[in-house]
Amino acid sequence: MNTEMIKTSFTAAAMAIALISTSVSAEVAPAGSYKIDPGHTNVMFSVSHLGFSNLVGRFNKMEGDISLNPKGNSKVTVNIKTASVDSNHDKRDTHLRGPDFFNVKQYPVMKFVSNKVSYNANGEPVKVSGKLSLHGKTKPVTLAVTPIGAGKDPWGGYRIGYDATTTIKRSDFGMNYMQGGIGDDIQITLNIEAIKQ
Amino acid sequence: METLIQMILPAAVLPALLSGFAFWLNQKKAIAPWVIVLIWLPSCIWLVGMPALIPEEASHWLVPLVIISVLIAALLKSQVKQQVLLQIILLALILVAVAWPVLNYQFSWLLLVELLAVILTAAVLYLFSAKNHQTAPALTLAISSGGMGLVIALGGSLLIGQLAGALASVLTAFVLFELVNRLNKSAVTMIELIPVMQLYFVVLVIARVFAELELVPSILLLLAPLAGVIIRKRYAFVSSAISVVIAVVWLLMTADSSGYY
Repeated sequence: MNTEMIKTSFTAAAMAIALISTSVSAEVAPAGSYKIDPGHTNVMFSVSHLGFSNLVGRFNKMEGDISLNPKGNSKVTVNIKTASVDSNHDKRDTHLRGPDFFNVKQYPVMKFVSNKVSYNANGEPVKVSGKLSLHGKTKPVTLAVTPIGAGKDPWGGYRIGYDATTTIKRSDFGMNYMQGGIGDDIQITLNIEAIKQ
Repeated sequence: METLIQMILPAAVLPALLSGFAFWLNQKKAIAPWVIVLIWLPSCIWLVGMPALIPEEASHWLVPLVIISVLIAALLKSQVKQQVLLQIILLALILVAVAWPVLNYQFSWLLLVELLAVILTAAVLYLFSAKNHQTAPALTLAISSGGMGLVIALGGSLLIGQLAGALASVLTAFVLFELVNRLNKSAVTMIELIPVMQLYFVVLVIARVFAELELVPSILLLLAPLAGVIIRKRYAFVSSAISVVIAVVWLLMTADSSGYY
């Protein structure tokens, strides 16, 4: 490794540390409206494959808004494009998009709309209840929320981040195909980053 | 194994058993031949559930299609031209209803052209069915439907493939009768099988639109029953089989062969 490369690597590492130290904080997110940043948000799912393992997949296209107010109305809306399902296998993704599973041409969007956001004593959201519309059916769902961080980003904006998890039964949403081999319980994890508006 | 049995029972075993019963009733003159399409309904309901009162998704249109098509066949049994015209109008309406969510959400002229091509093909097929007497109508349609089931299962959707497979199995007893009689006799005529052909075209469109079935096999499947009907030879069904075999081979050669089930 020559001197120039060492300098470049050192500078990049220093910048990365600076960025991290700027963005991570233990602040509590202030009340307000936030837009979900799709570039830093993941919607993951996990489902049993034949009882041997858990297959993990994700949706690559989504958008959403978060409105936080521990003393008033709070709301979370997430829209996920079902056609963006990605299980790391093209042929399987084609099958998942078809009528056997997500039927994405018929039901192009999966939508979550909250009706209640619960906060802890610090004013951090810890539970979001609402309705999930998937595959033509709408059912109540509750997400357990873990606050990750909040604070100013290096570009002058304000960001918040949460992990949210829930488990649904796909049969509740009329997705019954191949119940013997593919599990009914689907664990959903959202790693959300949102920018204050 | 359990999954395999779950797949074969509604797609092959149940309709084949009911086919034998329908054939027996048909021989006793207890039912009209076009009623045989009704024996596809239990398989359809098994696979996609009870039909919604107001259809919500493409497969929900199959049950009303079968019932209305059979009613048209029953009421206009002796008025062939009117029957063919009404069946084509019914097919056009159902195809638009099936494709409506896609046309609404992501309009495409190509899809409209494809729907028109299916309706025109069906019109030609039904008109030929009304004019000519085919030697082995059940065999021709069973080959086309069975091949379609295989192609769709390989190319996009096991569920829609099962629906097509069940359509082929519905004709089992009638096919056996034609084979035993060395294609000299048939228990049905092509015109009586129009309700089966209606299902054939709608299932094909569902596979093309919703299961992303590729264009080349879709065209080959569209032409498969037509080839067997237009050619007035004893072994005309072979041309249907050739279309289907090319579709299967094309799919096997071009598709990703890596397993993931």
